[in-house]
Amino acid sequence: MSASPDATGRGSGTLSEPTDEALLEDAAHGDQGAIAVLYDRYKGVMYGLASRITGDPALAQDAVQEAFVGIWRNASRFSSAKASARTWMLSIAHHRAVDMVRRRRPTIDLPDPELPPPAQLVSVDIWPEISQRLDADSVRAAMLTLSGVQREAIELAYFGGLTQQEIAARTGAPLGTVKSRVRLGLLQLRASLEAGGAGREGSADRRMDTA
Amino acid sequence: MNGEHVEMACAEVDELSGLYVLDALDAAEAAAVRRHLATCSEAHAAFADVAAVMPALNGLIDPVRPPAELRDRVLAAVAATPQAAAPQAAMSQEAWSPVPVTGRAPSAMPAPSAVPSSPSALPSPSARPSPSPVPISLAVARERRASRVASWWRPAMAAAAVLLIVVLGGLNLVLERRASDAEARASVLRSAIAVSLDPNSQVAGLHGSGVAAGATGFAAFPKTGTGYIVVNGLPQVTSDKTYQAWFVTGGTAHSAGLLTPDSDGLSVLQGVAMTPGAELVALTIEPAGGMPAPTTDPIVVGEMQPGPVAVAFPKLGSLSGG
Repeated sequence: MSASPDATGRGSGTLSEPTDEALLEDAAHGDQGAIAVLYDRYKGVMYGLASRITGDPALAQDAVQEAFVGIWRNASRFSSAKASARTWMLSIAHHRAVDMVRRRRPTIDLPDPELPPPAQLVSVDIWPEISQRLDADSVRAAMLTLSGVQREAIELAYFGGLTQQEIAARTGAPLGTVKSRVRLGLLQLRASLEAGGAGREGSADRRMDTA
Repeated sequence: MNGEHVEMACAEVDELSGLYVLDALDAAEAAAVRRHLATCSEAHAAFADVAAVMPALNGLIDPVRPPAELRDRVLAAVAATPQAAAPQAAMSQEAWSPVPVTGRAPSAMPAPSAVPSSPSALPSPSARPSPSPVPISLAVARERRASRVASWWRPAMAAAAVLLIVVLGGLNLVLERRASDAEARASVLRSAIAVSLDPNSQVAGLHGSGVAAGATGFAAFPKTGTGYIVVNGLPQVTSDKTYQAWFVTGGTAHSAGLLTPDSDGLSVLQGVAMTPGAELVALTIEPAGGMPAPTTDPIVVGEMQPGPVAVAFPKLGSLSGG
């Protein structure tokens, strides 16, 4: 019998431990100890993400280091109204890992890591109840409701660290197709997750029109 | 070469939303999207729509154990890195135009003289020709506080503004002092004060009672973006306790974050997103790490009102001596 978190899964399970958000607050006040705790919590997932994007242990370590420096530098800019601490920190780690791989391609400009997010991204974690009980299996199941080309485009973009031009070159699809595959794929992923069981049976009936 | 500054149409920008949130645009494209979003009056909900799946995508990451020595490397790099200023653009020295400090701190409040009769009559720091410390109507605030603390949790609050006035001279002393040991923090304070003086901001004057008697401060939130909670004179708490700030709306408290007084008893919380419709800002003492809801009675309270509500800081003068 699997655990059913629905009765109490309201995010109050970590009262004895400071939340990630509280640790970011402390970091914003100059508390380096808070960064140490965040490192211990996130080192595995950040290194996992950076390793997948860079495919290189040394680059991945650099990316994790840069990510925590960025988190430390910009802790005061974190706002829990915009995203969870987890999403915010992983977005920084992702950005730094992408920097690392693109830095190896001299033709590509580096993004400015200090820019604040546009206001339109303000409501990022709009379904905390859902994301709370997200597990990798349900997300994988939801990913299966995407078309193969949508899934490929999203994986190349996010976990491959490729730009749209690189995805187009890799897949042989025109740029416009890459754009809509990624966008419609993300919307389909969202729809599957919101539909509850996240297409556990791989139901194709929820599939959106693909590009 | 104008390729870098091609303006995009809204539909074109929305097309890029998926690639944008996945970090899959090159720098010039990402900058063009940002530029458009920053200036466009359209909501561009397409971006929030796709950004919402990021927690799910991040759920697909398989953790990998990094080498043990990375921890020391990361923490050493952090220790060597100064922190960025608060999100609000810090006011420049010129714009702030601080009151010149001659000699040491006035250890007492200046004698009350002409107290402005409405918030709109408040002097603005940049417009004052001959700045002299502004007297303060603490008695008014104290009276209101006395009647309020007992029933602070009740949301219905009178609309009449408490007249609180910045003690510019004393504040400047603190800024001077801060500038010498922590320029970054001084600039945060300046930004916070600037927000508190903006008529478009929501501001609360804060007053302590009980164990925090004598603590004063303010909470200030700009029309858009995040704001500040600044409290002076909070006593230190033991390491198993923390100060936690709350927004109170309709009798419900939402955490605004944790405050830690520095050695001078000054606590500054920045990057605070105001709970919409918040009626009160309050502080309680909670177990370290904070609580989802307050478990103790508030020891600092203030009610939100439209700015500018200038802020009483009666204890600042004494800081410069210590």
